[in-house]
Amino acid sequence: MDDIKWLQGKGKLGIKAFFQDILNKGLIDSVLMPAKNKKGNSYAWFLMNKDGFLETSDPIPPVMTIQGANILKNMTKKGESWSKTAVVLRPCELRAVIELTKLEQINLENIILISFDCPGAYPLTHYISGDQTSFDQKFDSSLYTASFETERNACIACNQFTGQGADIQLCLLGASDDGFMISASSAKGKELLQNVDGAKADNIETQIKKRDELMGKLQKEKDEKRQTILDRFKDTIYGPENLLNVFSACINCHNCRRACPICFCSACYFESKALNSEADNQLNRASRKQGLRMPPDLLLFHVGRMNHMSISCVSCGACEDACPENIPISLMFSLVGRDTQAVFDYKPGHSLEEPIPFVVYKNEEFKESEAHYTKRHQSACNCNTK
Amino acid sequence: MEKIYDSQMKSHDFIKALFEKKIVSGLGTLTQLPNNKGVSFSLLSDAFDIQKCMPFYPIMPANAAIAVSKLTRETSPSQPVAIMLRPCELRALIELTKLKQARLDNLILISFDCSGVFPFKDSKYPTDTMLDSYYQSIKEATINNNIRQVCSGCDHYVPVGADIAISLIGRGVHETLGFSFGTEKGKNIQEKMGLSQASEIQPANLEKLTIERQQNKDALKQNNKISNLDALLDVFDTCISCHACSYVCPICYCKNCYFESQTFQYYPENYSQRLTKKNTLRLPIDRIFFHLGRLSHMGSSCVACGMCSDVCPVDIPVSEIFKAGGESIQGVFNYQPGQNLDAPLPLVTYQEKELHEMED
Repeated sequence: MDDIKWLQGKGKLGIKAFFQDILNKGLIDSVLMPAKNKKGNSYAWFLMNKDGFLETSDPIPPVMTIQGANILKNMTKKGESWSKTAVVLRPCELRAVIELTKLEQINLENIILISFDCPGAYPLTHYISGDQTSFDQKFDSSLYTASFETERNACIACNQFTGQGADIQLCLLGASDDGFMISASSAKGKELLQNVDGAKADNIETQIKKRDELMGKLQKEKDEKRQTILDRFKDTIYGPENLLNVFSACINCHNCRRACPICFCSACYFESKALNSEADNQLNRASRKQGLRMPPDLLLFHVGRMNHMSISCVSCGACEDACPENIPISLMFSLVGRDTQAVFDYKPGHSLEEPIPFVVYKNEEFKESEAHYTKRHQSACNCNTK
Repeated sequence: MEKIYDSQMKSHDFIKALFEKKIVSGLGTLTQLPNNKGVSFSLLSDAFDIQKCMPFYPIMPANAAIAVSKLTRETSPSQPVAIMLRPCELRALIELTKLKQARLDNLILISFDCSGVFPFKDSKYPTDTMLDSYYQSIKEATINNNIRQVCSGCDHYVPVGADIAISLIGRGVHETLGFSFGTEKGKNIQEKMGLSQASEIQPANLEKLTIERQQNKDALKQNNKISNLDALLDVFDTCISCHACSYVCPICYCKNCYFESQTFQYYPENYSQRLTKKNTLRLPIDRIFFHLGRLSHMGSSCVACGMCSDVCPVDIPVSEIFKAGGESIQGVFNYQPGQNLDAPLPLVTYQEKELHEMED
């Protein structure tokens, strides 16, 4: 059973007051969350202690500049944090944190994970090149609705929009400018919440009921929307021809993988010497294929990356934000992830206890997939394998 | 000045002739993608897709020098391969060759005077109007409005060191091509193509264009000059440390970038100490240090090709800054990147005793 308290305060100001409060009380030593950058035209991540808490900090910014899991990875890859740090994350960032923890890239000791009902975000490039003031206003007016109108594919197709799995959740859906609920599900979260002074709310039961009702309805809507979007997208990419078509604008810059929290390898296989080949070999390929795109192995990279990380893909959309060619790559990876995750009945970012399929894979399992593949492969191509 | 010969060929005839006369067995050039979805740099082993070759198309999907480096890093081709590339790509290739990341044996380098390319953002599918006006600017030797800022301030737009140089500016892409053959390799091809006795063309007058471009360059340098710490913080304020600029940079060839190495993966105590000292710590650390470091690593070889700006997801004018910064560094060493295979890289010939005045 979760511990729940009600906090007075208007929207983001109320949330910021909560953080200032737990910093002042010494319940945490520092907080990691986004704040406006120096020029005020974007956001950046800041680690702040009680004397350095920024006026411009924004727990729920309208844009995801860097995936939060990547920041936490930087901080704790080499060991546990020295100070008790609360980290404010979008739900998809939280899921990536869980995955990276299982992949031993993040150490959660001394870290308190805080998440919220997320309305989504603007595409990064749109936001930076647009009118930030009006973007901000529009976004902030959607704070209690857990959705808003955006063109960011990952957010349009998102159906995991609550901070479930965090130590502490800020329950904003259905809240008002009077205040919001805050709930703790883990021992860590409950310990912290214990020392937070909740305001008196006569109707907390009603509040919970209201949020649950809204949540149920919204969840259903978003589940259906995700299925529809991904199914429709699948129709447009099915088969080698269509697949090549989606990636035709790709310039092979690999920025998707560098923005991806799950792609944590410091030396990517697809940038390794394994893919180098002799010039004549490449000319032969060019002759066989009637032309070879350079640099080569563009599709191999994407398909290989899918193979490497789609089981843990949390559909955060960082890849698409970073793509200079605006390829709908987050939809592509969400789609493939949906199907690979289903095979292993695995939900990335859901639980620290649930092992990553690659880790518990057994030699003798999935023989049926092999047979299926071989059979399909034979019938699909005209090669002389018979 | 090399003589310019009228080949009586348009670009597709020329490519066809290269294959038919067995001058080359491969060609690297820009080709049109299926379904009209832009262009890519491609390696062809035959002239079958000749209609798809678009060597002068005003987009740079990747710096061709990176493609050539991938092609030749392990071995040179055993048969001649022609590469059609822009002057800045040619310069990058020369630099990469000096850095032992590419081989020029059996390559025939074909370049042309360049009127710049469109930035990615506006030109994913350039309209016919945009293309027409661009081709018109080539013919009239003017600066097209749609080209990248770094291109409009480029005064190295005439290729140096190519085996075959094509004169486009002042003639246009729809005219027969004018060739000059600057090297022994080039002169050999001239003979094989039967162009030894071809009629000569008067070179176009590029004086006005060069002056305009130099003026743009001065303005660009002025506008992107970073003269104090605040300006530095401002210009990289939106940077998300994705390092895309370094990945697409032809000069940044390192497999394992120093700025992504263990050196910059700090222990938790480091974060703790910094936070205690500053109370507020922007993460990731080393965001600006990366840019300064990269500039110091590759600035002396920066050819201002503009790829870094093209890929930046947050619209930082990286190439404009690096062009300005690079030229300052190059000035100190009196070095012009990509101009001459025999001029050693400054970092290779650095002597402990020099440049003491910089240390103060």
